[in-house]
Amino acid sequence: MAKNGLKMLLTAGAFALAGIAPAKAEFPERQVQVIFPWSPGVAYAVSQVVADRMGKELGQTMPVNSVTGASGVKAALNVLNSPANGYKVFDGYVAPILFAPLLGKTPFQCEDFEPLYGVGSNGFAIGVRKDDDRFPDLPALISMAKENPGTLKYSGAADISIPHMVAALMLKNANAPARSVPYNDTGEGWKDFISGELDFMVLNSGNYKANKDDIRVLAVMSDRPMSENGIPGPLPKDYGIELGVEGLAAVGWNWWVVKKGTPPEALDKLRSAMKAALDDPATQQKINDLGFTPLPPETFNPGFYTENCRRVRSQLEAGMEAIKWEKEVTR
Amino acid sequence: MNQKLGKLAFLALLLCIPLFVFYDIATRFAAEGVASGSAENNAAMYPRLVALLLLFLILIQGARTLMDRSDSAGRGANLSLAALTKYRRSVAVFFLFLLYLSAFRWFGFMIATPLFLVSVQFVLGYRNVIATVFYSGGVTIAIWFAFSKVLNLVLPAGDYFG
Amino acid sequence: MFDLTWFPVGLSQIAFTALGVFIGIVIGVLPGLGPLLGMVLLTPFAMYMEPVAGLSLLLGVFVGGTFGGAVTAILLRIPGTPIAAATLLDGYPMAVQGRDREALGLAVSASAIGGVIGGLYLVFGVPVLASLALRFAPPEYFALAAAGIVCIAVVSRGSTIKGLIVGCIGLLIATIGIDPFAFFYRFNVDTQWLIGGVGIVPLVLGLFAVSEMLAQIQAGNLNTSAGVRSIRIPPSAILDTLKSGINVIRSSTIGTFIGALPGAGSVIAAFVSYAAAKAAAKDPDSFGKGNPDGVIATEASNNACCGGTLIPSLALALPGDPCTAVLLAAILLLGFIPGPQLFTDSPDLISGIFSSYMVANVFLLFFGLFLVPVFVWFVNIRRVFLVPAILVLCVVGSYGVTNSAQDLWFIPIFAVLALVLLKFDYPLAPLTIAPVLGPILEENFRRSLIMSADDYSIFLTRPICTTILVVSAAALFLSLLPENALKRFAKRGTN
Repeated sequence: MAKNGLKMLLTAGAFALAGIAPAKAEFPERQVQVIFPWSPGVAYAVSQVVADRMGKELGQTMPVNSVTGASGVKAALNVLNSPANGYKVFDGYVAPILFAPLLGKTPFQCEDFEPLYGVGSNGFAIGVRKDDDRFPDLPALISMAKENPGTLKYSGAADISIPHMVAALMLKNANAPARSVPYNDTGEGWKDFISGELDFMVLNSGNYKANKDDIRVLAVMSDRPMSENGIPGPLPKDYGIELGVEGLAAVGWNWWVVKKGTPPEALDKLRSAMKAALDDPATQQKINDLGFTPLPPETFNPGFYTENCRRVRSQLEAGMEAIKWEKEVTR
Repeated sequence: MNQKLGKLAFLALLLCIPLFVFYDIATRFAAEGVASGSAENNAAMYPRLVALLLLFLILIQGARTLMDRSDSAGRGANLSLAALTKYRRSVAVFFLFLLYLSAFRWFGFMIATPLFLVSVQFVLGYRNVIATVFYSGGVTIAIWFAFSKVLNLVLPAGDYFG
Repeated sequence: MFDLTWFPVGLSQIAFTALGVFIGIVIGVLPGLGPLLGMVLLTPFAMYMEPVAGLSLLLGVFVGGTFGGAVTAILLRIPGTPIAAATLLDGYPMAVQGRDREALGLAVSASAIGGVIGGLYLVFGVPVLASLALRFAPPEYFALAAAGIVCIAVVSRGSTIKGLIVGCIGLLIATIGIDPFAFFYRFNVDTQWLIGGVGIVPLVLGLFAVSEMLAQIQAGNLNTSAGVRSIRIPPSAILDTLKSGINVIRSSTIGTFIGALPGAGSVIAAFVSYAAAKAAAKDPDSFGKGNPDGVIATEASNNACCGGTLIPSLALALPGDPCTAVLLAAILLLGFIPGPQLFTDSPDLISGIFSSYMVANVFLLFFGLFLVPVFVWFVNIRRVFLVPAILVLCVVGSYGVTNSAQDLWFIPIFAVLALVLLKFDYPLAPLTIAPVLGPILEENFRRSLIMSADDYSIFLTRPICTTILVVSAAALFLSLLPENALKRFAKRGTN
């Protein structure tokens, strides 16, 4: 009782000081912020585009704030350690919401969040330098890797990441081990690839767009031609090589989520605002310009989230096995 | 002589840092299997090197301090109770600062800040009540305006209020 | 590669560059906030503007924000941004000696001139510097970061060993949190609080700002002001800076080159230039006690660094630091694709970026000279009013960058650490540069070994890497020798 009294007093004080009338509290009473798990950059701009448009729906500016550290886990915890009131939306990438829980590094699971909508995906491809004539096509690269196990070097971003996992899976299926050099900043990996320190690279659609003229795509990491990926090129299965993953497990993606227990009114408001933002062709065009593929809100809707978590998780487990295999064979 | 002892005590305190590094590597790192192996999985490789270097440097500095007879350069450490009372104002402000940090999250910027400003001015011995009230209100609103309105940053509204 | 017929520049371009520089300086002056935050906050506006004007606004913030931290570093011993941590080494002692006007004037003009020199390197050196930067692979980055650690020894006035002790503590602090490669939380004593590591902004604010406020409370005289005269910087400050022409050119060159290496950054550029200026000086002992060359070196360098980071960003679509990463995102948002083909496809945009960068540095000089009296007025507020407000600004500034209430607790921890270290005559500067260098040092050390299959000879078989390592080792050895041994050696040489 005493606690409640104090709480009311303080609440009243807060409103008085902030000059806000506590009457008819309708969500959102204050700014909704998006918690973004990486340093600002291109992916941040994607979130900014969506937040900007969504803010118009909510009648406010919706800031995107970056909370970095611990491979995104810190940002996830930042949201989960705050009250479930809908004022913090987490920009959920695969690393914090699926990889880290899978490794037992988090007190939460993918399902501890309440989903809004999927935002965008980023497809991958195996690329080599344009003038590198050792590798006319994917089979040439595979056979060289088979003959000299562990001597070819490549980068697929961080050690525990989708691009590395996809490449490791494909190489495992082809029994062609190569040495993965981890980079937390994809740009640094790109530099060492262009300068010849690395033999091949797992490109994303942004890398591809920016450097079309200097690289050759050997294979697109997808089970469908070009599709959601945005990079033209042959598929591994065209050469009879199994990719080992399908759908959203083969690409990077982000899904906006809030803490479980968020009141339904707030959830509804956020969902309809986000859907309106994503349905806007201008938003989709901007996401596209940034090198990401917008996820259609019809499919990647709140109802599909749990299913998506489950499907991707089971494939990630296979991917982790492939990374383990790669280390055992090349070290 | 007292000064030399203080310096050595400080070095002994610093010695805890590399010792903690070695201890954590021997326990938590080892349990997780990242205390050895190739460069990729060996999370202990680099901190161990730095800790060894630090240990070496601390020992050299310790030896130097022991051999130094003049000891005139250092201001020395004179940590007695009498000295502490001299620090009472800064210690009080420091504790207010800690309180402010917790209040900042739980009760929000708008409540915590004016209270903090008023109490710091009180501790600093400023007794003009009207000026204090205007000052703390003014600074709070000015900072709130600059950060929240101009820079569009979200300041904490107070987790306590849900 | 491109033509230089970009003059005259458009009016809106000039106006937005000026606005950007102004906003940048103001944000840079606020404790903790730097150019990155300013650019992030303005991107949503820039993306609706005409491309060159939008990018001019962001470039202005980049240039102004990089300088802004120097103002409070000199006047209050609070580096508004980590970038300015090296500036206070000599800037604050100058202010204490009543040479605040001179220090600020030098900082403004060195920043502007350094920025212009960096811009010249940018305009004329893009292809060469970009290809040179490509020759730096993980072993070379490791060697460069190791050289940065040696700079700690050179920067540490008085005792090299004490400086290195503090540097090693800083390197270990940087290892707290998730391992760069293995998914493992190091030294987090099983708390969530430390899994993300120690933030550099709360660290710097605690180390310098809060500790300084506590020390001022300690010193008393709370009802007096700092007593800085209302000052206007004479334009002759530019001439004073030019007197140290060699220092300006050397520091700008170092700044540009380190900026051109993706991931190195302006904090390192500032410290390396400072160490170089000190090593080249006739009276190295006067550094850290208010030597104008210390201010010139760091400020020329960190603003030249901006021009440097633009080189790989524009030529290779490789952002040199977080600020240019935001700039690249803005270029994308404006409908262009950064990368080599930008030079052939959109030469107007490239020349617009180049000219805005140059113009921004001119405005920096203008605003710097013009706005300084305003900042001095702020510093002159009585301490009983100034101290509490700065404490609040530190908290809000840190929160604005990290968005984390948990990270605020690093501020008091490092404030206490600073007071203890000062009490025992240990330098603080290594504690700011080491956490910046630490991740670069470790990641590239281990990455090199991954590339070579754990063969350490990779560090000794690559000419650039080996040269940097040998030179650094020699410099470290010399700085560790007792001073009188060196003097004796020198005497024998002359006799």
